[in-house]
Amino acid sequence: MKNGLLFIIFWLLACPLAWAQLPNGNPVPPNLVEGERLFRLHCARCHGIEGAGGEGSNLARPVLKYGSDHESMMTIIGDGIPGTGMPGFWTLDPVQTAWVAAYALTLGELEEETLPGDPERGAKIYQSNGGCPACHIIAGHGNGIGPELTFVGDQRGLEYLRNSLVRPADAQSQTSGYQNYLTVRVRSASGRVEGLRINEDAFSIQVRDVSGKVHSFRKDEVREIEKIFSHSLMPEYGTTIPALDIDDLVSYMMSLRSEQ
Amino acid sequence: MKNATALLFLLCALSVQAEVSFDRIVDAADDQDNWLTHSGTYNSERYSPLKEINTDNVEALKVIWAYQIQPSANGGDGLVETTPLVADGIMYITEPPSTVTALDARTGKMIWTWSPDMPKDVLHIGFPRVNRGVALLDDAVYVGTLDARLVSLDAATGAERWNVEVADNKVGFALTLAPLAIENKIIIGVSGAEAGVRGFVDAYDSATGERLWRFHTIPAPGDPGSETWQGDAWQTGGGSTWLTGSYDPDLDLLYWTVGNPAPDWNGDVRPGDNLFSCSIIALDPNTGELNWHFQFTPHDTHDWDANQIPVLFDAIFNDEDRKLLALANRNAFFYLLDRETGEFLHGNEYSKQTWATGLDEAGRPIVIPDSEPTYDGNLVWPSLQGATNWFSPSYNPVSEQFFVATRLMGSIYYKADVEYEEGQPFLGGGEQALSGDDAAGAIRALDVMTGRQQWEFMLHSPPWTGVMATAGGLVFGGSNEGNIFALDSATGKSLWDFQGGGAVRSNPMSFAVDGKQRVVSTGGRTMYVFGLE
Repeated sequence: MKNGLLFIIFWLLACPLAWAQLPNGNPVPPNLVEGERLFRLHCARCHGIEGAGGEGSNLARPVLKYGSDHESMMTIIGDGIPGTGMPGFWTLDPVQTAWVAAYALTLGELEEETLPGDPERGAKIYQSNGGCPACHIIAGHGNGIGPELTFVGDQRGLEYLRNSLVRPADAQSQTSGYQNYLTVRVRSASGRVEGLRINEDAFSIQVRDVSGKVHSFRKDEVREIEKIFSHSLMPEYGTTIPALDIDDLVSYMMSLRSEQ
Repeated sequence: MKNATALLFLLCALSVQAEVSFDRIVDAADDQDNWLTHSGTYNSERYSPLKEINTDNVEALKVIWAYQIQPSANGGDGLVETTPLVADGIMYITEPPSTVTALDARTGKMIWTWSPDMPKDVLHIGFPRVNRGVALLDDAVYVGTLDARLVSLDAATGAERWNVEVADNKVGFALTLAPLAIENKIIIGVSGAEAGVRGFVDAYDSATGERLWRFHTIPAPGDPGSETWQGDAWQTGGGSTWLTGSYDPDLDLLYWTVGNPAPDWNGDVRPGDNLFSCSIIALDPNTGELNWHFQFTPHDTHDWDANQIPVLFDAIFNDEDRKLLALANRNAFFYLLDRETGEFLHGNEYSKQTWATGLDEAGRPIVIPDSEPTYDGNLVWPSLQGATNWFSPSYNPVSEQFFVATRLMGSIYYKADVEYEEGQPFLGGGEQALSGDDAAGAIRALDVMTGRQQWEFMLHSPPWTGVMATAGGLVFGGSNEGNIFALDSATGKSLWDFQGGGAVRSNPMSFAVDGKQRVVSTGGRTMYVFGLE
């Protein structure tokens, strides 16, 4: 809570001109304090008091599936998302909606950070001894085993990126509480498959192996499904790449932004 | 004479159309081709005596027809949580937020549809824009609307007969439940505790819409139970009644469940047990007078509404024939009560909980200190959505098994300062649920007399839909991941499943048309009707 308040003060200082805009084009002065109050009243019941999700989706992410900018966030708050639990909050007036939208978009916002190394050198390491394109895509190049990194600088901060290289098992991203790149091992009559969980329900699980092949299993047809939450298919580069190279790799990823 | 005969024939033909008398609902358990009231019978067993579909052939179950829930004039959003009713070949469903639609139960083709004229800024504080179904009585269909109106429609045409305001939506009252139709009366409860309303149960004359009585679930000073409140807290005390109750026509008693006290998570502003919140109340349907009550969660601070379906059944308990009531509560305990007196007979934990060491001899929870919400957050099981919720349990009277869709999820509960403001959320905190890989769901079979778990079938996430047992030895259920499935009621083994393409939120039900059994469930906004042929 204290961190939240400090962050709001930081945001107000950092973005003094970040006025929201109503659908009719009229500007709305930002009011994050009121936005937070309204968020806690109307949104926290489903999205969690810190916005980290629950019955509703996790909003404490830099890039959201829906409502990634202020205008679309206002539309979602106003109209809801059909077929989901997200209702339209027609009882909020446009100014209140603008405040809540602005606050919701701060929940996953990253602070500006200084690059710890040389991003150009990092790009070369990424392509060469890092071997990263074998599992990651940047701007359409590479393989999609791990997360796409084209705009990872929008999504992740310095510490997370460093951790994901040095101790990837400790830097597992989640969507609505589900580990995005969970390693699973499935034993069936036809053999053993290790890969990443793509999807799962009570009756089936879909797994992508390191070659990119998708395997679909009925749970009642396999012998064992092992979920390894403390493991990542991503190698621990902390022991194979010098620290300075790690700094450069991190800097390169931080530089991968949608708006340069 | 010829004209008279023709008129008589016409009258008979008209009277065939959904003529659902009170006596017919009383005997609904013997009327296996139809589903005449929300939970199947007044006992709320949600059990189908049909057995054409059974453990030997359920593997061949297939979609017979499907219906796409339509966007309505009142907005296209909202989850589909309706339990269809079926009477004589016509199916009556609700579509979110408050539309009623009649379908040909044989083909799924629409007969009529009706939507209320509802303001766009209708309040629904603390819950989505949903409706859980209609009631049928004689030749009328009854629906509660999101803007807190109760409406009677002509069952044959959907024409409006009467439309009355139950309560003021501007202060937070809303109707999402299926009404309960009893003899000449429509019983309705309200949502709104998250807006600090003072809840009640109402009875209306089924012919005219005239209100016959109102029972306030939060007593005024001087009324029984008022000693459990201090100051003016009762005026905004919550206790909403947002789920259909059960009815015993022999005892002539209504059983209705009551939700959380308000504000939800800050109990400091409402010291005391806060009756009749988080309770079940037995009411005289003729007068609305309280016969008895039992409180599951005194002074609740976790939003554990008791709005779960009470299942009525008769059995021998301690060598005595007893009229019993079973309820799996949101607070993670299973209860067995005497429904004549409200006496607590048995209770046990049926799902993970960390807030009580157990129940005492009177059924009162023995609360673990420091399990209330705090300003910094306090991790407690179950989450605010509870170990189960509004979605229906099922009871197989032959095997005496109680089936419940169970949510295995904890939450960090927060307390916050709060002041009441009319028509605004009145919560006093919030939660951060442990979702995703930290949570799960299960269909659990309990011995109804002991609450002992017989089997469980694990689900990927905490479910939002109920279960239905059948005489075919099956238990139907659904999942958030779109699975619609049938389990062997004896073992819990899955015998059939279907991917419905969207989260399942409506309780399953069953009926027969042309002598063929049908099972109904919903995936996302598509309602599926399954059969063997």
